[in-house]
Amino acid sequence: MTLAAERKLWQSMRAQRWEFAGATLLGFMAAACSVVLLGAAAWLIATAAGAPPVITLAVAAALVRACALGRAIFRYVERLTGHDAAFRGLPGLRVAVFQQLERLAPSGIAHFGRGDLLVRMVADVDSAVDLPLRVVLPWMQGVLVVVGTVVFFWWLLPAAAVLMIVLGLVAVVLVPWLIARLTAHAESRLAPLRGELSASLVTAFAGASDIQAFGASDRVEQQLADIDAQLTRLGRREAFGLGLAGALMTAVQGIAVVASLCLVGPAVIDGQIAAVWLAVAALLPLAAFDVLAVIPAAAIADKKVRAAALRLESLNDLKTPVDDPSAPVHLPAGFSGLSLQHVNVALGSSPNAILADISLWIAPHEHVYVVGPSGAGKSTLASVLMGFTRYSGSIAINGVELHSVSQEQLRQRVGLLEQRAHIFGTTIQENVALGRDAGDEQHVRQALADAQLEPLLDRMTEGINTRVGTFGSSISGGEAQRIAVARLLIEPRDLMLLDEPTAHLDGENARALEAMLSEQFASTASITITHQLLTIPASARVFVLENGRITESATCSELQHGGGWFAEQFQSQWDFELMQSNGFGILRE
Amino acid sequence: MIGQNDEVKPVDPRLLKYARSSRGFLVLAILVGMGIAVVVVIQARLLSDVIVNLTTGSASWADVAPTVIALACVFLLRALLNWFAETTAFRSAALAKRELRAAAGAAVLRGGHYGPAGTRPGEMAALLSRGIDGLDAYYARYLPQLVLAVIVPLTILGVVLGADVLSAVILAVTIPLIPLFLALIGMYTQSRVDRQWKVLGQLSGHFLDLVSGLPTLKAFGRAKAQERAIRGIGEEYRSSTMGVLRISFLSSLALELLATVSVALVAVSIGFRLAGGQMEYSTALFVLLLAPEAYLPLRMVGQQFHAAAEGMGAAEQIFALIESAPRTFVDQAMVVGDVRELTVHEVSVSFGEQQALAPISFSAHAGQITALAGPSGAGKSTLLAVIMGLLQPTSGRVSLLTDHRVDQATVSREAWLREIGWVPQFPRLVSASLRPQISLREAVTLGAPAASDDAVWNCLTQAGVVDEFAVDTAGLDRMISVDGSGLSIGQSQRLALARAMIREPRILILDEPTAALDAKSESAVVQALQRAARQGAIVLVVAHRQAMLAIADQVIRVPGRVQ
Repeated sequence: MTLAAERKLWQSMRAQRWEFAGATLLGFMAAACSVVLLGAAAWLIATAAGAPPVITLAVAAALVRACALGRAIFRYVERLTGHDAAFRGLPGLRVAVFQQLERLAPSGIAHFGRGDLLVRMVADVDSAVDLPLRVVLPWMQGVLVVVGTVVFFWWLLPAAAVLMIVLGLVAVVLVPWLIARLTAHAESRLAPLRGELSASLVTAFAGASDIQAFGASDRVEQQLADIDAQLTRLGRREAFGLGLAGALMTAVQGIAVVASLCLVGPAVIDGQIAAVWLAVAALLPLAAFDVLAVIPAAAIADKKVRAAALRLESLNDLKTPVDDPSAPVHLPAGFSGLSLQHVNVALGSSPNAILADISLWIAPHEHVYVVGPSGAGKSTLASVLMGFTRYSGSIAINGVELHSVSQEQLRQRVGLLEQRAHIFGTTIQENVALGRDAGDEQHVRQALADAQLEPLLDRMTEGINTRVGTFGSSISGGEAQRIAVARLLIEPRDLMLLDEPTAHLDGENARALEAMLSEQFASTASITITHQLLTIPASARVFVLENGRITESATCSELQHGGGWFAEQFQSQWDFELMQSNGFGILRE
Repeated sequence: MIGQNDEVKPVDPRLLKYARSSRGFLVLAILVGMGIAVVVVIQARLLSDVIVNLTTGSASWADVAPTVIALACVFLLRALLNWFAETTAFRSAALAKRELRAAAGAAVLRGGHYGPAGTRPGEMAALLSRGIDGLDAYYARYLPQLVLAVIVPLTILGVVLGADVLSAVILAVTIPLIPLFLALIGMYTQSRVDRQWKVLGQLSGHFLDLVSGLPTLKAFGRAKAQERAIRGIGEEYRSSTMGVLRISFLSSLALELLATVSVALVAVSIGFRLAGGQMEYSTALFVLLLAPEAYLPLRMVGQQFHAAAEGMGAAEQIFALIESAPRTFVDQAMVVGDVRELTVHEVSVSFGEQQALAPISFSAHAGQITALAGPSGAGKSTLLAVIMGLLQPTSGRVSLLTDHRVDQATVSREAWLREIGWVPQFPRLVSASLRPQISLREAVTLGAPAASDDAVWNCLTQAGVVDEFAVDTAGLDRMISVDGSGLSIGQSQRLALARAMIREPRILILDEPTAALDAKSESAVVQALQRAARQGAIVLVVAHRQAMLAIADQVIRVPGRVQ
């Protein structure tokens, strides 16, 4: 399974196969040069010792020089070619991964979490270049060097050649296999443990003040240290395995040299082989197995690439939350109403419905409200209406079934304001212009004015071209939500879904944003999800969602006296307001 | 990422300071390096002996057999040394990482939400987990190589000097050229490489941004349009990376050529003297085998430096974290006796140029509710952080009055905080187990791990959360999510109130506790505050609403910031 994923990754780099082949050859040439260099130098010295005619030496000396230069230059060209080819495959792969994520977002990737996604997008894609550069090319070059060595010894002394075949197999096959075996166990437990450390650090840091304030720092630090200690224990086993593999490579090199001496030595004494070749026979394996020293590293890199390939591949296996219709129906212009009939939503194969038998409708220009306890399925409802979540039953918008409308068209007409809208780390202008095709500066300025963001613009020295920082870090939460509103205001929409847009703001900012929203979306049909029952107009229709079902639906004023969840909550919120305006007098005894 | 400092030090002294285990490792690495240097020399000696003896025809196989066996032993020794070096390097890396992680983790925690943890918890976590793992390459590859680069050339130089003076002279002249060359190339390319790394950092940030914003992009039908942008960024990423790589490849090429030419110089001089009969074959072969070994570790150091640079970049940031941690308070004295008054004297806070809190002075008294009021952004939460000692004020002092005056600066942070029960505006209900899901009991007993179930129930009742949380059979074992999902902010705040009250603090600090909704529970909060005040606690409340201000015995206006 992992191998299949890796093979698929390799397939995705097919376009560069000739460059990789070239790089392999160049790498082999470089390796061959360093082997021949040592061999020729050894032969040169051995021959020179016999005081031969200078012309004999001149040829070998030229060979030594050529190999010395060749090694450096071949290596340089090989690295350039290989890296260039490997990196050329990256942008395409990155786009492919983004497409997968795009296909799945948002409901299909909600469980990944932000950190993990970064790993997928950046690190996994980046590590794809390791497949040719650190795994395939070094291994292929190693194999070629072994072949070259075997060919030389075949010519010199076939018995030694057989030995080289065996040792070569140990180096290029057995050692990588051994590394994989030795580290497999530790590795399978290391990855989740690293994840745990990462998650624990995030939890600890996000709650840093709470931990400090409650004197829990020591216990938290101890907890982190415990995870670290486990990591170290596992890592030590892995290092033991890798050290063993490295030692094995050195041992194989030693065996090759010593065995070559033992086989060729007697043959030289017997006069079967000319004496000058002895130095070559001893030094050539030394140089050849030096080249093979990268094999353990290649085996380790292979494991990492496989893990990354598997993660990337797993994206392909995830089911698209909602498929675009094969023959989309055109959504008539304007907004003539939305109606849901017996809508059900289930999560995966779970028998428990998130939404069950939901029926509701909304007329043009109407503002309806969806309320209910946390976890009742309110946000899921918004997600269904955005076309993000699969449903059964019927949802008709302008008389057209929702899932027969193309998602692109649907999202041009239905706008969503989330609890915490994402602000991109770019300029205010680009963040707002996102809401409209070809939204120019004029549109952006108008939308910002509508969202009452002039104070922000006045404060920022570069106006709408101010960069707002990663995740909007240089602006306040209220300003971020207003930018998100401006993004929706830049193009008129038929239906607005407001999913607790003020949940993360403090009282003052929340009220200001609410006022702005009701002013700006006064003539747009809207579904507002809220906890603030007192802000609902008396004549507005309200749907109470409890445990995925609509338990009450009527106008706000009717529900106030209905005796259900709404009436109870409304009463308690009302009492509270009253108490506040009385200055909590009744509570002061 | 390569550090911002222009000066590239081979070994950062701070590493030895903050990761003490590095010192032992450095000693071991030097010992291993010496071992390897000796083995390299012996190997060359034995190899040349065997070859010479057999080639010149003077020896029988039986004569050279002991040398061959010795050679085999040398290879075995080399293998064992490698193994030892590898495992030692790992151990030291793991130890150093643990030390740095613990120190940096403590520093980040200590900074609270006004430190880096507040603005970038994810980034800090990544730095301390994946970032710090980059040190593996530093320990396992770069440091040992650096040691070898010093020991091996010197050893070989010494040995060659004993065998052939002319070769030794050539080595002595050319070997220093390599570090010199490295430094020259380094100086020339460093700024370019730094710039490229910066671009790479921005690019990966851009990807995260796009991926995190995918739901938003999709809601606006803009996700598809980003593919072109991603391809563009990808191309930019590729050309930047290749830019960095081209420089490093070129510098390796230059170094390799330099080393090769130097070895060739040695070889040529040996060859001619050998052919002229002025030199022994055995000496010639011995020197020829040793010469390349003298340059190899130096060249490798250049290569490993790039692999180690990332880890050093992370280490750099970690050192900065450790050094930027707020100073520990004087670790003495406990707060003894009844706390009668909390006094804030001329406290102000500025972050850089920006003033977050204008100077303010007031006293809050035991048995009273003191409300802090003022416009949004006036610095009320900042003031609370100063009072708690989580944030160092730019000026001014905070003190407690018991039977004498206790200045905040003279009390250990732990002892000071022991007096305080804090209910933040956006509480994080964490437990020391750091698990993402924790039980109600764990959430409430963060500051009092030994508290009994009865005490927990009592505090939950007082905070008005029992009805919502303990109705089912799970009771205190009911699991809640640390990130607050599934809880309203009001619920989190009331749980945080229970968590504060269980410590029976003499100072109760609440940051805007009435921003939430449910009236019944809110009245419970108000009653809890009043009860705490009656029992003699100092109650300090940040409030926006007029009504909340009305129950206060004293209202302190926090003026807006001065622009």
